[in-house]
Amino acid sequence: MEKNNSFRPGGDMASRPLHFIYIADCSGSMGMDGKIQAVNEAIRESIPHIKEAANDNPQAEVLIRAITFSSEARWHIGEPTPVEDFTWKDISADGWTSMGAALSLVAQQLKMPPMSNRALPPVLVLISDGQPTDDFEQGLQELFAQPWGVKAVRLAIPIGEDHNMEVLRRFINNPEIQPIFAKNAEQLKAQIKFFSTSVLKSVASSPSMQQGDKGSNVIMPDNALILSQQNTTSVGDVW
Amino acid sequence: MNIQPKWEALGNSVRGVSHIASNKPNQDAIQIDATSSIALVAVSDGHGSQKYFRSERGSAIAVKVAQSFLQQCVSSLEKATVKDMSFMTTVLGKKLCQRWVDEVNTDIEQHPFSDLEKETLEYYGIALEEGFVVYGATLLAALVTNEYALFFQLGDGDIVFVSETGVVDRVFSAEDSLITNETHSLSEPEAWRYGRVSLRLWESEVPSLIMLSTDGYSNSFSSDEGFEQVGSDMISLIKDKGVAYVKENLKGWLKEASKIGSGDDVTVGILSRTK
Repeated sequence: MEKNNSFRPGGDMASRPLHFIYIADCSGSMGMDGKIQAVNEAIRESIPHIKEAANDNPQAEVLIRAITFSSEARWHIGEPTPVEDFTWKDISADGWTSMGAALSLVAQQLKMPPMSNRALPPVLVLISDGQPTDDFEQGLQELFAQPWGVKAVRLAIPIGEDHNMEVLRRFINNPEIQPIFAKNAEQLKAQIKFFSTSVLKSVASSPSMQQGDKGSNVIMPDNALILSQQNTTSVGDVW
Repeated sequence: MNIQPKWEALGNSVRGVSHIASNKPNQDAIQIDATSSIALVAVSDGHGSQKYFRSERGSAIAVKVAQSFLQQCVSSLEKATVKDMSFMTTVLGKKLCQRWVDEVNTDIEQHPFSDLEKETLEYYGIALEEGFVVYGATLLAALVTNEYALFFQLGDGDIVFVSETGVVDRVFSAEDSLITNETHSLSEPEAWRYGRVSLRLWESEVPSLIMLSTDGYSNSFSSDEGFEQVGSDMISLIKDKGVAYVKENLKGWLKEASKIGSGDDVTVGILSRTK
């Protein structure tokens, strides 16, 4: 017989934290051809979709933050913000491309603590149009020195003609996940929406896996739609 | 010291809200037995991902193996042998893991893989003769005699014991290497190496309560302290309202844990000392 009693043993309960971190390039080149405006619009427009995805997955408490990097890296939104309270503050472009410093900032926040071992894999979304101008290796090394840095779902969106695909591949460090080039604002929006909803849902419902299993325990959703959109872009739309 | 404690066993397992939403079965399993002089609680958590498509059967087999093998094995061992932790970890752990593989292979013989399942094996690069891998599950077991308690854990989950005054102690510390839903498994190569064994002799205080749970339960609490508080609260509830009250309400509490907390399957097994 099962009863519904007001008292239950134990302390406070909560869904498992799912940290979602945007890492956005704000170097001077992002100011050209409307790229930075496209990033602002794409993230802002993704918010309702993230909220919907979070509502569909109540076992995950989605917490969003953002780092920007140009001549230096800094937390644009430093407080892990519940998705229902999250608003996007516009970013602007100026300076160099301190991608390594940005990864170092992420690494500091993926230490335990402040992370807990009950968290779901964090999702890191790196958006960049250029080459790192600082010590990228150092930042990457610091990120991968953290267990949560290794276990994070790392995604990247290269934009613009001068992006460095190899650097982004090394950030992802998973042959099953490739950076998908966003050729224009519409593709950027589609990708950010895809990462913010379908990928987030997969992470929120990721089952257990045996230690040592190859690949991620997060089953990546099919990105065929994103790829098909990429292939139908007209030349005039390209950044 | 001749304490000769008596135990009452209780437990429950609920399907996680995320599994209900995705139409997946409960992949946890539980076995409890306090009818003989050797009481036992075992819980197991099947991995549940696409690769481990028979893990709900793997967990069910794990807890049955724990009961039959551990009770039979320990009753035949001298106390001096049981106290030899090196022996228990290697020999007992090895045999227990092998028994699970044997039982799983029998299950495969009785329920051969379908063509679709064979395709999944191929996709994951699993040879047919190693099909037991897809039954992957954890195992936590507590076996209690008049003289001692023997604990075995392979994979994630929690075993705590609680004193009469509500002080909670963990039998095994958390494995720092296991984060983000990773776990050791009965199905991995040389699984016994990851099994942990602990022995508590009833030479002084005997705990009032021993609780085993799958990770869906501890992951439902905001903090480790919140989870450990379950132990002291259980002691108070049993003292004030009796074991029957806990038995009646446990399923509801576990459902609430899955709903408010982890969303995962949640399983708890308890041995409550009555004497």
